[in-house]
Amino acid sequence: MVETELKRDRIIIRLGTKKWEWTLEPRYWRNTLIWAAVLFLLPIPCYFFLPGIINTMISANIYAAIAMPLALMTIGTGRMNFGPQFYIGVGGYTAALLSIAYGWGPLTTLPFAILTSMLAALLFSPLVIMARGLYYVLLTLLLPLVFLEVTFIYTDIFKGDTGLFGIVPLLNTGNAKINFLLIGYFSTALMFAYLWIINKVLKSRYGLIMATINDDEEVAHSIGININKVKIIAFVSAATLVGIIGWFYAHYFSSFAGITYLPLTFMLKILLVLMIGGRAQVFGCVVGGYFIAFLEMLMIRFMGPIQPLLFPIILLVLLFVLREGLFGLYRKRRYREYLPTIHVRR
Amino acid sequence: MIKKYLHTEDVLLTALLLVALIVEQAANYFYPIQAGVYLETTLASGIYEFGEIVVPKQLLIGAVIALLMTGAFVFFFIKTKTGMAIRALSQDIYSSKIVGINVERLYMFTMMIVLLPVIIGTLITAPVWSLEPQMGWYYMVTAILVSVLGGLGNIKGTIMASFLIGFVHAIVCFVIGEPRFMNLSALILVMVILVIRPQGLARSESLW
Repeated sequence: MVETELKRDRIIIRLGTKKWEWTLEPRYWRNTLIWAAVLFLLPIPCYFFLPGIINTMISANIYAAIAMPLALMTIGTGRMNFGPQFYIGVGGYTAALLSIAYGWGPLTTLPFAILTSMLAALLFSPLVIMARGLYYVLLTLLLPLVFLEVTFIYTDIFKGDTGLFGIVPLLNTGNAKINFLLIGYFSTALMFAYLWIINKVLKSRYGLIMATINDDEEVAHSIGININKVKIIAFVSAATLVGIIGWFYAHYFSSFAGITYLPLTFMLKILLVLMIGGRAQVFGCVVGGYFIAFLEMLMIRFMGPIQPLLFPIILLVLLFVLREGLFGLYRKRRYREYLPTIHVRR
Repeated sequence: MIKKYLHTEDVLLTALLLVALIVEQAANYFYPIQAGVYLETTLASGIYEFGEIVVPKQLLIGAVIALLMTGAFVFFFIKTKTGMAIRALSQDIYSSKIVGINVERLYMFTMMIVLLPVIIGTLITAPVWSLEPQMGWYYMVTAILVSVLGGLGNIKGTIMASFLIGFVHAIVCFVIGEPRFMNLSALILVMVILVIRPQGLARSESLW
C-alpha cells in the first residue's frame, strides 16, 4: 500500500518498509534546474551563430564527466588517483579495436568497453588496499604512462604512433552540423547522468560510509564498516564510468590514439578540473570542466603560440588563489554540502 | 609557500607537475627545436672496450661522478646536522619545530640541493644522449619507480632500489634484447615487491 505524506518542505512516499523523499523547497533544486536548462538550451543558438562553441561544450561535458567519477573515487577510496586516464585508454582502445576489427557500432562496443574497464579496475583494485598515501599516488601516476609505452611496443595492434582510425562514428545523420548538435546533447545528457548518479550515491547512506572512509579509515573500520569492500566498489565503479568516456572519445572522433589521452598533460587537465572546479565536489567538476574547456578555447583563439605556456601558468595561479575552487565561491554563501578532503599522504 | 600549503598536499603535487609542464612549455616556446640539443660538456671523448662491451668514456666518468654524489648525499644526510634536520622534518614537522628547526629555510634549502644531482646528471649525459623539453617525463617514470620501490624517504632503500631497477633495465635491454619493455618490466617488479612488502624495500622514513 502506497502512503503519501505532505510535509512543509517535502513529499514522503512510503511503500512497505521503503521510503522516498522529494524536496519541495525551491532553494534545494532551483539553481540546478536553471543551470541544466541553460546547458540544454545553449547549443541551439550556438548551432545557428557559433557552431564551434558546441565542440567546446562537448569537451567541457566530457572533462566534467571524467572528473566526477574521479571525485567519487577520491572520496570512496580515501586516496587521490593521479592516473584516471588509464581507464579512458582501456575503454577507448576496446571500443576502437572491436569497431575496426568487426565493424561494430557504438551500442555493440559499449558493453565490451564497460567490461574491460571493469576488469582492468578489478585487476588494479588491490592497490587501494595495498598502497597507501604517496605510494598509491605514484603508482597510479605510472599506470597510464606504462600503458602508453605498451601501445608503442605493440604498435601493430594499438598503432601507438599514429592512432587507430576507421571507428564507426557515434552518430551519422549525413549532416555534419546536425551530428555535432546531437553529439553535443548526448555529451550533456551523459554528463548530467553522471552528475545525477554520483550525487545520489554521495547523498545516500553508502555515500556517508564513503565519506567516513575518506575522513578516517581507522574510525570507519572501528564502527564496523568493511572498508576494503567499499573502497574496491568505489574504485571499480568510478573507473568503469571513466572507461565509458574512452568509448565516447573513440566513437566521437572515429579515431583513438593513446598519445592524446594517456600522457600527463591530459591527466593534469582532468586534475585541474577537479581541483579548480571545487576540490572533489561533484557540482564543482561541472564548473571546472566548463571553465577549463572555455579558457583553453579562448586562449587558443586569442593568444596564439604562447597559449601552451600561459595556460598552465594561469591554472597554477588559480590553484593557489581558489582554495575551495570555483564552486567554493558559490559554496561560501550556501554552506551546506559535504566538502570532501583529498588525502595524498596518510 | 610549501609550508603554507603543507596540509593540502594534493595542491602541492598538482602544482609541482604544473611547474614541470610550464618549464617544458617555456623551453619549447623560447627555444623551439624539433631535434635534440647536444651540449658541449664532454669531459672525455672516446670509448672504453672491455672485451665485447663498449662504453663511452663520458658515461663511465658519469657513473663515477654519480657514485661520488650518492656518497656525498648519504654523508650529508647521515652525518651533518642539516641533513639530520631535513630527515627529522620529513618524519614530523611539529616535533622538528619544537627542537628549533627553521622549517621555511630548510624547505628552501632542500628544494635547492635536490636540483644539484639532476643538473650535474643532465650535463654529463647531454653529449651522449640529446636534450629535449620532454625528456624529464621519461626520467620521472624511473625516479618514481625507484622511490616507490625503495620506500619513500629511506636512503638505503632508494640506493638498493635504484640498482635493482637499473639491473632490470639492463637485463631487459641487453640480455633479453627488448629495450621497449624496460619500464613495463620495472613496473611489474615494483608491483610484485609491493605485494610482498607494501612498505617498499626499506621502511619509509626510517633512519637508514
